[in-house]
Amino acid sequence: MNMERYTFSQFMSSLIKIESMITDFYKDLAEKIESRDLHDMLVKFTQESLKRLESLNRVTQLSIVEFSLEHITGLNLEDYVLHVDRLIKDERYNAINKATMLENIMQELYSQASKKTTYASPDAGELLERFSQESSKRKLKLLRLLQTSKTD
Amino acid sequence: MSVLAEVQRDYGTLKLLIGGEWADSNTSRIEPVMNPAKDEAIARVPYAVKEEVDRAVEAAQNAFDRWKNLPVPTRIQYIYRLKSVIEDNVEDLARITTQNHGKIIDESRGEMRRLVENVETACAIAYTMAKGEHMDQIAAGIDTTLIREPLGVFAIIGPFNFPSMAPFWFIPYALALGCTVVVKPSEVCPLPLQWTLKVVEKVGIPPGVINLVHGNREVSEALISHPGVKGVAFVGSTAVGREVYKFAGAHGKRAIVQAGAKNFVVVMPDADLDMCIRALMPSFFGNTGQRCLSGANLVAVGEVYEKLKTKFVQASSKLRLGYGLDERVEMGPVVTRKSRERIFDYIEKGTREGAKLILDGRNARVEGYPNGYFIGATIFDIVTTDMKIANEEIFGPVASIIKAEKLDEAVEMINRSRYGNATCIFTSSGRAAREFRTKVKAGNIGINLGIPAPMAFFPFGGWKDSFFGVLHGQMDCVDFFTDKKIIMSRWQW
Repeated sequence: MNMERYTFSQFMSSLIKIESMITDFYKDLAEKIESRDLHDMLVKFTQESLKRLESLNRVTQLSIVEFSLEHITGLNLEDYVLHVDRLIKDERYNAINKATMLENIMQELYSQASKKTTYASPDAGELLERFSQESSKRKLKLLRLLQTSKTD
Repeated sequence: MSVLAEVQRDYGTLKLLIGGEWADSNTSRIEPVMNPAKDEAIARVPYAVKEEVDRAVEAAQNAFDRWKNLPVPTRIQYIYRLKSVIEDNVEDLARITTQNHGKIIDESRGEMRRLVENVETACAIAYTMAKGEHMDQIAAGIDTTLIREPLGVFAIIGPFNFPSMAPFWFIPYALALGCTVVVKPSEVCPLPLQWTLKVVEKVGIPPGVINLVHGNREVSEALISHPGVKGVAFVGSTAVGREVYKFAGAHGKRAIVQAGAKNFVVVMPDADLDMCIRALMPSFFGNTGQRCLSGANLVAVGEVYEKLKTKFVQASSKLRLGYGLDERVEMGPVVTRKSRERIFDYIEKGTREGAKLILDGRNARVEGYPNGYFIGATIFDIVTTDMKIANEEIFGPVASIIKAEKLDEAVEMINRSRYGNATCIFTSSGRAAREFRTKVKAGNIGINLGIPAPMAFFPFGGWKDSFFGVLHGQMDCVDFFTDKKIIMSRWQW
C-alpha cells in the first residue's frame, strides 16, 4: 500500500494519532517532573494538546466539502509517527530537550500538513497552520526555560 | 488506521413522521434496507399506504397557518437551531449515511457539510430575498408593494445518492419561507434522512411542519396528486424525473425536477496533468460514480491523449475499494446489487459496441466483505459518441475516453448530448476556458476542477434533459415556495 497517499480523514486521523502520542507524553512527564516551572509548562501543554485533539476531530468531521476530495500526497505521516515514537522513548535526552525536539517536529509537520489540506478543507489548513505557530512558540518557551535552568 | 464504529448494527423498522409523531405504518409491504458493503439488512422500510400519505399532507396543512404566521425572526430561530443540532450529530449522521449508501466517510461528512450550508443559506434568504419590494408614487399618489407569501404544503422526493443533502436543497428554504413539507426519501436509502429528522426533532419545530413518509412510486404519486400539495421538488433520474414533471403538470402543481446526467470532462494539451489526474479521481469515481455531477466521458483533446490515458488508468487502478467506514478506503460499493448488475450490463454493452476495455473493475474483491456490491474503477478507450456507454447515464464507476482533435469538436460533442448537467475543462489557457464556458450548453461548468457543485448560495443548474422546470434548487427556491402579491394603494385623493 502506498502510505504517501491519503484520504482526508485518514490524513487527519494520523495527525490525531501523533498529537495523542505527544499529549500522553506531556501528561506522563508532568506527573514525574520535579521542576515547578517545567511541570506547569507541561500541564499547560497537555491541556492545550487536549484542546487540539478536540479541534482536530471537529475539523475532520465538519469541514470537508465533498467536491474537493482529492488524495493528499507527498507527506508520509507514518514516518512522523515512528519518529515521534522513537524520540519519546529515547533515553539519551532529558525532558526539556525531548520536548523541544518534539515541538520542532510538530511545527514542521503541522506547517506541511496545513499546505496539504488547505484545498480539501480550508478550515483544516488554517487550524494546522495555527498549531504550527503554537508549536513554534512552545519551542521558544522551552528553549528559554532551558537557558534559565542552565544559568541557574 | 481504524475502521470507524457503526452507530447501530440494526435500526429496526423505520417509522413515518406524521404531525410530530413517529408512527408505525399499517402497510403490508416492508422491504429490507441494506448495507451495500456487507450485503446485510440493517433496517426495514415500510411503504406507506395512501391513508398515511393523506394524513401526512393533512398534518402539514394543519401546521401551515400557524407556521407561516410566526414572525420571520422567530421562525428563523428554529432554522438556526437546526444547524447546530445537525452539527452536534454530524458524525453519527455521516456514519449512518456510509452504512446505508456505501459512500466513503469523507463523502458522507462532506454531504452533511453541504446540507448544513443549505440551512445557513435558507436563514440568509429568508431575511433578504424574501422581504419584498416597494415603490412609491408609481402614479399620482399611488404606491406599489410586492410581498411574497408562502404557498403551503410541498412534497419533497429525494434520491438515494445524496439521501440527506438533496432533500435539504429544499427543506430549510421551504421552512424558512413559511411553508410546510412532506418528505419522501429514496426507499433504497431511507435511513440517513430518517435519522437526520430524528435529530431535527430536538429543535422543537412545531408538529406537522416536517412530515416523513416512506415508499416508492405509488407513494410519490399519492403525494403529488394530493389536492393539499402545492408543488413537488424531485431529485432523481431523467426517466423518472420526466414522469414526475408530467404528473405534477397534469395535477396543476409547480415542480422542480433535477434529473440525470452524462458529463463530459475535457482535457486540453496544455493542462497540468498531475493536478488534472488528482481531480479526475473524485470526479469519475467519487460517490462510486453515483452522482449527477460525476465525470463520465473523458475527452482528450489532441496530443494529450496517450499521456492522459496512461496516467488516468494508472491512478484509477490504485483506488482502494472497501467499506466506507474504513478511513483508508477511497471508493465504496454501489448502492444495490441491482445497480451493480445494471452497471455490469453497460460494461458488456460497451465491449459489444467496440469500445476497448482497458481497466475492468468487474472482478474487484474486497477482503472481509465478500458479498459487498463492489465494482472497481472501469475505463473504456476508443469510445465514440454514438455508443450507448457514451450517451446513457451509467451511474457507476465507469469512464469512457473519447478523442477529439480540437476544442471545437469537444464542445460539439457536449452540445449534442441530451444531458446538460455539468461539464469541465482542464487547461492552462484562459482563452480556451472562456471559449468553453461560453459555448457549452450545460448548467454547471468546471474550469480546472472535476466536480462543479454549486454552493448553496448559488442555484444548482442543469440544462436540457438534466432538468425540468424553471427554478432550480438551493437558493433559487425562494420563488418556488412563495408567490408574489402586488399591492397598489392610494391614500391621497
